[in-house]
Amino acid sequence: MKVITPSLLVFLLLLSGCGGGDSSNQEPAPIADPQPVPAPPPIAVEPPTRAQAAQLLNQGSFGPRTSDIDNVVALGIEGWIDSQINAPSSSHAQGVNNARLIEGVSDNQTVSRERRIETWWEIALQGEDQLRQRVAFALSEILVVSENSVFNEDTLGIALYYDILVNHAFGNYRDLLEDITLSPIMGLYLSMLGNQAPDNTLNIRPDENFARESMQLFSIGLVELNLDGTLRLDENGLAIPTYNQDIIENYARVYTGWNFAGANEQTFTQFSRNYNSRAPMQPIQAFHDTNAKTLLNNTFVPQGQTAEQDLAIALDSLFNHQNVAPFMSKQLIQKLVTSNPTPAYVERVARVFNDDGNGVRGNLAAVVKALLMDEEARNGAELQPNTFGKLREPILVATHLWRAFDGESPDGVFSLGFPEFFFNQAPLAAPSVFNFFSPDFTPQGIISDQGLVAPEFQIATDTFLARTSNFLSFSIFAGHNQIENQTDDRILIDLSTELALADDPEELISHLDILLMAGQMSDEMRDILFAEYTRTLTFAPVDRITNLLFLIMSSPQYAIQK
Amino acid sequence: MTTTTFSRRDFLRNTLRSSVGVATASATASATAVGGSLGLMNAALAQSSTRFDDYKALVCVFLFGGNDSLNMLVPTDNADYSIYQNVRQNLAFSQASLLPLNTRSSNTYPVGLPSAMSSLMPFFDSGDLSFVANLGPLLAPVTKQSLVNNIQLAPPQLFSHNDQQANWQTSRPDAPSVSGWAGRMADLLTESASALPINLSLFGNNLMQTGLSTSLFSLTPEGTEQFQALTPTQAFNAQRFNVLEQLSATSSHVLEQGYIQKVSRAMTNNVLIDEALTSSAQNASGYPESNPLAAQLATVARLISVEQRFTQRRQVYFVGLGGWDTHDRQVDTHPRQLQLLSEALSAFQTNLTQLNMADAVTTFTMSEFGRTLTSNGDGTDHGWGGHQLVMGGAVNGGNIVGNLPELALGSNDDLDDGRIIPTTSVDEYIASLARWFGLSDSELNAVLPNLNRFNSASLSIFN
Repeated sequence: MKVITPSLLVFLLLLSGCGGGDSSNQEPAPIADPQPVPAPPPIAVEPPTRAQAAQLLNQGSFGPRTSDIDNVVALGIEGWIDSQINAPSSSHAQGVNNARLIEGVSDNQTVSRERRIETWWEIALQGEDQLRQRVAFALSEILVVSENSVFNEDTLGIALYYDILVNHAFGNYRDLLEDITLSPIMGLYLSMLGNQAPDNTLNIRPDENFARESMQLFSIGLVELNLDGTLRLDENGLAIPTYNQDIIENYARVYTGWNFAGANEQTFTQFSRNYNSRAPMQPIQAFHDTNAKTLLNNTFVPQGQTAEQDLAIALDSLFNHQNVAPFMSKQLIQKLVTSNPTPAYVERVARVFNDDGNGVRGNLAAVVKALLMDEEARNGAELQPNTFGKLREPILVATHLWRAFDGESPDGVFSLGFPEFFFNQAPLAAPSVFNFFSPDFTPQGIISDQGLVAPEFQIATDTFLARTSNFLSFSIFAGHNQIENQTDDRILIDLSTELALADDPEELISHLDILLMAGQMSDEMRDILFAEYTRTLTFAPVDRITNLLFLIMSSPQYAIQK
Repeated sequence: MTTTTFSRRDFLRNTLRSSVGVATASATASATAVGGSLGLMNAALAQSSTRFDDYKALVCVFLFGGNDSLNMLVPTDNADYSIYQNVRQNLAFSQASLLPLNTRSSNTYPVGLPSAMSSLMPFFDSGDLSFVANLGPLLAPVTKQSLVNNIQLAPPQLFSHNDQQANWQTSRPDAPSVSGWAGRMADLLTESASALPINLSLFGNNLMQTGLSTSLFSLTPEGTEQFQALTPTQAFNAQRFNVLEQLSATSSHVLEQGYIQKVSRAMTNNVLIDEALTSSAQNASGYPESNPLAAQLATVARLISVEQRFTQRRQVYFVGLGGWDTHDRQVDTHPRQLQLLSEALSAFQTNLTQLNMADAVTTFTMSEFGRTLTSNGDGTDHGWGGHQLVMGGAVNGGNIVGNLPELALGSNDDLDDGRIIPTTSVDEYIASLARWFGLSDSELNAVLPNLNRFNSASLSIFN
């Protein structure tokens, strides 16, 4: 792995332009080449309707804008996905660095957490690489690091970790696994950094943290899975653990000897002196356990190897494990499309994970394309009218609002630096490596009674349901650009398109139906909204419109993305 | 499929003529504004046929990450300290720094607390605090020899955070469970579906308080939050609320129905609790700053101070503190965690005494596992058995309940690398708490289906 010094890194980041729109960037960082995606068999494809386009954008972006819908209609579902796979990526580290330069903060100092989050908003709301960023956001909730750690003030380091997810969103999962493993931020978060060979005289064994969580959460999970994501059972009908404590301890010994780039044998334990979050970790062989190890599927690691050699075998053993495809595929489906995919859907995507058609395993671009183009993603709302879909993550409700209605900040800064106040979530700020919510969570009541899961309900507590609602009321009723004298740091939606439709309620409701609900509004819902709009005809046009907007976004029909 | 709607009727009955929930922060609602509903609230209380005459609350302090509690009760005598020091090496607290516990009864070696826990010493000495030794999830009583022969005698996924958290919270290590033990208690004790939930959480959703027919209510240390633009008690909001009810009635989607259930309950309960808090709750004082656990417990104390306003005579509170997963830098971080815990508990118990509620409230800790006696250089890894604290006026304090483990590596208590085999099950611990709470033996067995696998006698936690 190439070493990037802090100054070189900054140089590269500056070179690569701003906002992700500079396609001339040929430098290796921060953009990784997408994996080639094989052409699917040719089939005659009707151009998608605007409703179908909007549905795709609900799943594969931070929310549809009218221009995005036009774009999908013009390119087709597959054409849009391909164009997104090839779009240049936006860098979060670059945004943080730009903020540092604007504030005049020196290279070895950090900017505050709000600058990192504002960068996230800017890219989510305005980045052209929507699908890549949406997948990266999903990955940030699977391959979790959190600022709730010793590096909490190192906003650039955290942003660099996010960029690993961005850069590999359409790359190969094996490369992604390696880069997150060697990220010093991950090294700090799950304490692989500084992990050393055993010392039996002092009862010191290697640290098991990364060994355990990287298997449980980042790659294979706790129990053996069929290709369709269902549990494999033993002859007694019991789940089969994928690993035991002995396997953990062997991986823990593999992950010894790594430290900040620049550390050496003498300084191995000097944390502050070595601190360097801008380059991947490097091994110091004297601290590596060189004994033989036995890993998953009886993978043998011979004695006497270097830390890099051991690591390569270990990551290959995770990558090649039969669980990875269903484990990762199902979670990506849950994050983007539906909480309760059918086993057949999981299996179709998992097959692509195992072989993209060109014999390549782990091609994430192909996986993302397969899961979005699957008949269940496209037609699930009709196929499973009572169960398909997922609760929208509250922070994605906000991005949806601000994208659908062209949210702009007059001062150019998206000043919502503490989104967790409203949403119970913020990028890379989970309470633990187990994320804000678990893929298995099921809320008490009808959902649990029906045996379904609904992960996002875990953060939809009594307090945060109200706060998200209040965010919507604040941002819709008081956050539009028809009000004069708004302060410069507000994010304001533009309702001019909707105002032009104020006298044509049928058309207005159809327009909002597409933008907010992918054309899935029932006739009954339209009738109720039409009656409410008619009731408010004495109101100023903008007040009628905001009332309608708020009602739609408060409805259970909107809350569940389908 | 049945259709759920926002329960306007319940909502209106609960909100009455109060003006909370208007666009101004609800916390500022004046006592006058909510005073109109006081009489009706008390009437509602009088009408309910309550099973218990007295009020009791259980407060669960969940230590997320796995507390290294083998460094919380540390041997003080030379022989045992030497074993401890030899095993724990650079993670060992110095013998001179320990605060010896003068136990009223203990059948094991003498121990002391790390100095970071000094604020709890007066409560141990006054008989309001005990420790329960070497607890953990168990399928059945087990020995080292039987485990060596068959590790499947241990609960599955023994060293996994979320699995072991679930085991403490469900007491069903033998089977996946969508309900927790406190949730199942609430299913039995809840007498009216429209009443405030028995289970209140200051730490978000959790399995422990999730029942099959009842749900937990979650609030933050700052209190509750109102739906500012959807309050049916205001004319304009009422119309929106009305439209939302109509929209909800047209839904047949399971996840949408689940969402409606959640929002409906949130609307009702946020108002109910906010009324109680803003009208008569005493402001908590004496809590340490910059202590997230203390902030939660301060709000618990405020809620307990107005328990008469609620229809439930039994409440279970859930609070939490993360940061216990001390894989590294343990020498720095673990004492800080113990100090946060001790100072928060100390302030809470003092506050309860001021409120004359010390005897009615029992506070106890849980944590998914203890940690390895052996070190990974600068921290510890996931273990199994660990010690817990129980505090309150009803507690038979000044004791160490159960058996402290042998600390020598390779002992009969050591599964491997100092992962300690529990000698008392989580089920026995919960059963003791639940008996104090007022559950009958048959109810205990319904709440804790595995209890009959263990010694049926209560642990000697309570007076």
